[in-house]
Amino acid sequence: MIRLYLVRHGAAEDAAAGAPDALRALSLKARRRFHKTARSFGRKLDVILTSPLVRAVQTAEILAGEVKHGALAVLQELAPDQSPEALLKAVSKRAGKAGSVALVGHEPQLSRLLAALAHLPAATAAKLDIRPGAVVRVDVNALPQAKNAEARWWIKSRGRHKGLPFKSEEPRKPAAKKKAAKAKAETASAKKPAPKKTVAPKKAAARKKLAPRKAVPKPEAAAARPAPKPVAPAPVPPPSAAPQKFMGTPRPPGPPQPRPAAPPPVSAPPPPPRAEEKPPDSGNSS
Amino acid sequence: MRVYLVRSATAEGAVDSALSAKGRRRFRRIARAFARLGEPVDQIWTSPALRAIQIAELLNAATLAHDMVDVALELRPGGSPEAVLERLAYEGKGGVVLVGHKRQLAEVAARIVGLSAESVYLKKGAIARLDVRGLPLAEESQEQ
Repeated sequence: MIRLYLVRHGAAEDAAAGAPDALRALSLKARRRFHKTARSFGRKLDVILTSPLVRAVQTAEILAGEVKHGALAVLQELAPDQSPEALLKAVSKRAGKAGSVALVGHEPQLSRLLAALAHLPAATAAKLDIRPGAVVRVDVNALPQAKNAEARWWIKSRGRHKGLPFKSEEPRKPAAKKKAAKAKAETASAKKPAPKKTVAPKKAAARKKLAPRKAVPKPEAAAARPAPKPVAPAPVPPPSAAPQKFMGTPRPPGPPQPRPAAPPPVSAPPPPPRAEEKPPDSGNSS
Repeated sequence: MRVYLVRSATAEGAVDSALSAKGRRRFRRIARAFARLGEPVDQIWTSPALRAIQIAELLNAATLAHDMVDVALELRPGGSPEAVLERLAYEGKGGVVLVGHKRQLAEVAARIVGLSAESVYLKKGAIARLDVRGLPLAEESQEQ
């Protein structure tokens, strides 16, 4: 049995003027987050395979710095423009008899690979979402005709969850921009202006809505493995009003991710009493 | 300001090859030896080439403190040494590690020190330290 760890690189900085996308480096925040994730990894790796792009190589090296590993090599098929079938073939060729292999790559390739490995139906596969900096462990009987692949767990900097990494039903909030502004000032990075400071009440409200991502209650997690999670599959998920505990570090603002189900009303459900001069749409500019 | 020059092999041909297992082991040893010297490193700037990124990350992991790797396009193979010097002048502070390629680093060193580029030779796996004080410039190099 082979243990595959699918690793998605963290948020990358914007490209310098005229520089190609492949050369974009990890943002400082993404590096720190991923250091935490890598430190909590706790297992040996036989091989680390990475996409050739700078942000993936950096992620792979950070992982290599914290985890005992055998070899680290670049696999061209992990680059974002390659097909998952080519990827699967290349992985089985390169991984061979290895017991645990980490694949550092990009979305949507990693999700497609996961869907192919676990033989997920299209509806479930569409709901997969591997977050930036997240690690998904998949136990596979054999490559490439992987039968009975079972997604065991996935972690990101804020926690560990069982089952498949699905899109959360909550809309993403650009929470804690103030903290991000502070972190940027610390690193004395004069390249980008600090992100706009949001009004504090928005942050507090955002925190409440973020919480469900952290805790996956056990019965739900058990159901997640044999069958897809009973989550409302609405492409525009309605925000839940249930107040829940907030745990962990605030979400990265990060570059805006092109999500297929990008909910337009991300900024729509803010609490009404707020002295906000910004037009509602700019709330999505993380 | 202290500038540390670290040489990374330029890729031959179109494909940017990664450090081999042997290369990584070797450079990890170099990085650890460098860290043991106790030189305070504030920034690590690297060329975007694959091997340079790996070297920079290995150095970062060894010297620790906090994450400080910056991908600097000025250090790409074939980049101009003036651009590097300019960036050093504007953003360099404390200990700056430059991970780049032989030709450009030799030019940078030559300009800082006032020699001709031909007389500067960075051995593979060597880390050279230049103390830059503006005028006059002092030079001191250590090879590990």
